Amino acid sequence: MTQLESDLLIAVISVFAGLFGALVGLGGGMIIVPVLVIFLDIDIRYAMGAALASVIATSSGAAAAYVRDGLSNMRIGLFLCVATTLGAVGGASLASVLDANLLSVIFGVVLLVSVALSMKGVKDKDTSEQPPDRLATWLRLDGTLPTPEGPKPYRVRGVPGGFAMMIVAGMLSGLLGIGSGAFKVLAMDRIMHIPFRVSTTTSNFMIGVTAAASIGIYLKRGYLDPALVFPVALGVLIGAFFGAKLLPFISTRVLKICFLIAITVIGFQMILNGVKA
Amino acid sequence: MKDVALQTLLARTMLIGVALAALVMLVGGVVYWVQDGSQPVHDHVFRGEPLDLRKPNDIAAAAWKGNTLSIVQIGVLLLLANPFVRTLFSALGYGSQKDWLYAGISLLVLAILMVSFFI
Repeated sequence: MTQLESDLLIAVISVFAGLFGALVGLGGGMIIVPVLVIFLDIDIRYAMGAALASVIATSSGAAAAYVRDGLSNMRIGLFLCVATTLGAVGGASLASVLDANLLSVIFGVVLLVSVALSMKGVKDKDTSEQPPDRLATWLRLDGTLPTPEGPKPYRVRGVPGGFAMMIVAGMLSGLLGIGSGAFKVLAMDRIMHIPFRVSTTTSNFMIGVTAAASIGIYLKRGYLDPALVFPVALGVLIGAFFGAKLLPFISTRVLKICFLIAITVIGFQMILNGVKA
Repeated sequence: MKDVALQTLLARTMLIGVALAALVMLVGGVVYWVQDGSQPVHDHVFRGEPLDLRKPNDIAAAAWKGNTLSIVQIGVLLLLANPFVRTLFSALGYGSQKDWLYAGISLLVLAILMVSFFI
């Protein structure tokens, strides 16, 4: 195979990874890393570097519209970015001392947990009647969610717990080259009681900032192979763009179930790969 | 600067930044294909990238000389720069509102990003 053929293959695979990632709400990074490692026999560290670059591109592209429309809560996002960037620096530093096989095992476990998280139903609590939380009030984290019936206020709580969970999310992002959106949403939606729409869109803004804290470390360690980064990052970006356009027009239920099964198999395969070697 | 104006500024920063980075990667990548596309595929055993693909000034110097992979790496650096610019603008935006708490938080995030880049 020539370099061109190999790159085109990687680009096409990346387009599909981005497309499915956007359709089922699991980030492109979670999908592209195992595909590169298992099917194309690429070292996990190069795969993580390319995935992290694609994660910055897609999350920044998606977040632009949400931030403009005021759906992302910038104060929540910036405040929690303190936690995720600190975690990411720790995670990326840890990645450079851990064995590649151990990384593969951890990746598989995190993939399975993410699948489990993304299967739970979404139910927002009405928090507007709750008494204000002292810390959230001091940090002015409460906000309003734009709805067809006008802005709907929400109250934030569980700030220390959410902050702690965000350190974990940042660590996983830096350790594995993923956006770890599922864990960020877990912190905001479940622990801090932030409405799901605000959690996911704020998470999009945060993913890029978090990834920037570890990609500098990846660059210095030599994880960023430009010949791999450009077909992956551009492919995932294109796939995610069309996935987002397609999303309102197709029913994703069946697709999501099939896809989550496939991802579960891949997760176990990643664990096996690491254990065997 | 009002919150809405800051949101618009940040949205533009993100969109233009990603578009610019993607364009640079595409140009570098396509020229790389034209020059080296017919070479046999190199393996993906981890050795770490060569040093001139790791440090910003070395990357810039090689890109200037027309090294295609270095041009792709410039695209990566542009992606990386985007969140730096984002947090800087947030700090300036909140500063202009005299919202010192969030100007400070933005600067703290920026400081962590800086440290991660220079450690």
